[in-house]
Amino acid sequence: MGWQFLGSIGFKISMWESLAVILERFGIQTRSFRALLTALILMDLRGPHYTKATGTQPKHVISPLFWVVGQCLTLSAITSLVLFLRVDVFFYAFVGLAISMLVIATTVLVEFNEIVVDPRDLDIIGHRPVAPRTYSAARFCNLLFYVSIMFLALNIFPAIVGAALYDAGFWYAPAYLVASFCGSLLIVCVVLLLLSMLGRSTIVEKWKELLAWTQILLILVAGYGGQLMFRNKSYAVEMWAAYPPDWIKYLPPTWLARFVEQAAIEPQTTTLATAGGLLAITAGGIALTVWRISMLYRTMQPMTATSRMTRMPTTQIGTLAIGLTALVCSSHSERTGFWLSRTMLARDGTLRMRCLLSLNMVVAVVILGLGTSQFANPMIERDTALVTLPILAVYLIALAVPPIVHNMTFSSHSEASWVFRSAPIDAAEFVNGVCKTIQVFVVTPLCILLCVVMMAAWRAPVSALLHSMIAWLVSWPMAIATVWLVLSELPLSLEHSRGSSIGPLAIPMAGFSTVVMLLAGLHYFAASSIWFWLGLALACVAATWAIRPLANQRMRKFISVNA
Amino acid sequence: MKIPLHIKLYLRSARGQLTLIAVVLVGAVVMAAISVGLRSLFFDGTIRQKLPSATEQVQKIVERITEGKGDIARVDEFTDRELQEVYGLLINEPEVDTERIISARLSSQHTGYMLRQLRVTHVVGNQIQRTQALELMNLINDPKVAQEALKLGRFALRRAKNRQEPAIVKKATSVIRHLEELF
Repeated sequence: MGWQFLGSIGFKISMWESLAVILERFGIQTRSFRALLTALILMDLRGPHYTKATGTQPKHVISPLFWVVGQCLTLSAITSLVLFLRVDVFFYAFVGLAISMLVIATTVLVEFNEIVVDPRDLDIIGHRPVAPRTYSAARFCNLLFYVSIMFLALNIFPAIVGAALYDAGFWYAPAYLVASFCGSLLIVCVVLLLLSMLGRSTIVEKWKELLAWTQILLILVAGYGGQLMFRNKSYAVEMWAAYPPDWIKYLPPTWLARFVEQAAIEPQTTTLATAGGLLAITAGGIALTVWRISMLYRTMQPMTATSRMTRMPTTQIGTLAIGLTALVCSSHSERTGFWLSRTMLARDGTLRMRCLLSLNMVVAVVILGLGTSQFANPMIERDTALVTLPILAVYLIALAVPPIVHNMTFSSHSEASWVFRSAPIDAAEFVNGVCKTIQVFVVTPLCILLCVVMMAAWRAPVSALLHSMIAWLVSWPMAIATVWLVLSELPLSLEHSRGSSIGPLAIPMAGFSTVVMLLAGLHYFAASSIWFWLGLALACVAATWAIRPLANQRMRKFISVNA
Repeated sequence: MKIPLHIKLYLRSARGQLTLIAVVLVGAVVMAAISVGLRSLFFDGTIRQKLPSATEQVQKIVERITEGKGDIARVDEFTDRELQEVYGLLINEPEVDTERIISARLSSQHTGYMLRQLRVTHVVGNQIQRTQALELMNLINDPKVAQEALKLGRFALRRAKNRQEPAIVKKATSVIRHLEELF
C-alpha cells in the first residue's frame, strides 16, 4: 500500500529500474533500500505528526512539517521581494544562497539530525541482512526528502524572481538552481560529517548550540535587513551590496553567487565547466557522507538501558537549593515541576537548544540596534528610527517565552512521563513550577543582561531598570497564556518530532505578536509617563490573575481526560 | 467554516500532506511569476534615489542664481540639508540649472560631498538619475579627486553594461575619457 502510494508521487517503475542500476554499482541492495526508504518516509509522515509527538488533536488538519515549509517559503519570499531590483545579480544570488544554506544547515542540525543514524533502528533491522551501505543510503535519502522540500521552499522565489533582475540574463535561473542545489547538499554533508566526527558526546550538544546561533545572522539579514533597507536614508544596505567588504569573498555562498553572476551576465565555456565541477564536488560530498554514515552504522551497538542514580539525603527530599523553596515554589507539585524542568534543562542539550533558540531575535535586535546606533532611550528620544529596536528588544523577551514553554513539552526521556500521571501531583501547579523555572533561569538572567546593556548604552540606570523590569513582568502572563492556549500535554512528556518545535506555534504566535506589538506601540507614545509603567505593571498582574484560572483549568482537564 | 470529514482525513494522510505541500509550492511558483509579471507596475517605479524636496526658500535662491541675479557664493553657505535639497533638484529636475552654474560650483567647491552623493545615486538611482549623475561628473575638474571619480565612472560603466543600457554606457565612456585627461 505504502509503496503504491509513493509510486504514484513520482517513483515510476521505469525510473526506478534505471536508478537501481546506478545504486547497485555503488554496492547498495536496491530492494532493501527501496523498502527501507519507503518505510522511513511513511513512518515520518504518518505517525509522529498527529499523535503523541506534537500533541496534535484529531481536529487539527495541518501538520507541523507544513508550517516549517510555510516559514521557509515566507522567509524566501520576503527576502526576494525586498531585494528585487534594488541590488545587482551577484548580491541577490548571494543572499538567496546564504539564506538557503543557513536555514537548511540549522534545520538539519536542530530538527533532522537524528534521521541520519538512529540507534533504535538496530533493534529492528540489526538482525536482518541489510548492508550498512544500504542502510546509510536509505537514511541519507530519508533526510534528503526533507531537504528537498525545504530546498524548494527556499529557492523557488529567488530563482524565478531573480531572473527578472535588470542585469540577469537567460542563464540566471539554471545557474542559480545548480548553485543552490549544490550548496544545499554540500552544507547537509558538512553538517552530518561534522556531527559524525564529534560523536554523541556533550561536545556535540555544545557544538549544536553554538551552530544553531547562526540563525541570528539569518534573522538579521532577512527580518531587519529588509526593514533597514526601507528606513535607512543613507541606503546602507544597497551601498553595502554594491561595494561588499573583502571578507565576504571567503564565504561559500560568495563563490556560488559569483558563478551565478558569471552565468547570468557573461556566460562562457568555463561557466559550464564550473557547473560540472560543482556537481562533481557535490557527488563526492554525498559519497563521502554515505560512506561515513555506513561506518558509523557498522560500529553502532544495540541500545542498552542506562540509568543514572543520584542519591538525595532524606532531609532534602521535596526541597530546593539555597532556600529557593520558600521564595519560588509554595506547593510540592510546583517544586517537582521546578526541580524537574531545571534538571532537564541542565541535562538535555537538545531541549536547551530548542528552548534558547527563540531568544535569537532579542539578541539580533540588540546587536542590530547597537551596531547601527539605533538604540536610544525611549523615555527621552522620540525619533522612531532610534527607539524602535530597544522597545522591540523589551517585548521580544516576552515573545520568546511561548516557544520556550511549548518546547518544554518535549524531552528525550518522555517515555518516563507516566510517572506524572501516577504521582500525587496537581497538574496545574506542576506546570506552574515549570513556568517558574523558565522565569528564574531564562528570563531573569536575560533581563539582567538587557539592563546592563541598556545602562551602558543610555547612561540612565532608572530607564534601563524600568525597561528590563517590564520585560520580566510581561513575560510571566505570556507564559501563563501559553499554558492556556498552546500547551496540549504535560511538560517533558512528548517525544520531539520533525518540525514540532516551531510548527504548532505559528498561529498562537500571531496572536501573541499582536498583543506585544500593541504594547510596543503604547510604549513608544507613553514611555516618558510614570503612569504608563505603573499601568503596565498593574495590567500584567491583572492579566495573570485573569488567565491563571483558565490555564489551571485546561491543565487539570487535560490530565483528567488522559487519565 | 467547517471542513468536510473526508477532506480532513485526506489532508491528514501521508498523501494529503504531500499534496498540500505540493499545492503550496506550485502556488509559490505562480506568485513568483506574478511578481515578475507585475515588475513594471509595482517595482520599477519605486527604484530611485529619494531626496528631500527643495523648500521654497532654497528654490528661490537657486532660481535667482541661475538667472544671474544672485550671488553664487551663497551656495557655499548652504547647510547639509539645503545641499541635499539642491542636489535633489539637480538630479531630478536638471532644467533648473541648464547653464550648469550651480552644478559647476558644487563640483568645484564641494567635490567631496558631490562624490559621496554621486556614489549613492549610481547605486540606487533610476536611469534618469544615473544619467544626470554622469553629467555632473563631467564637471569635475580637480585632479586630486580624479582617481576616485574615475573609479566611480568605471563602476557606472560596468553596471550600465550589465544592465544593457546603451545611453548610459556611452555617457559613462565619455566621462571616463574626460577624467583620464585630468591626470
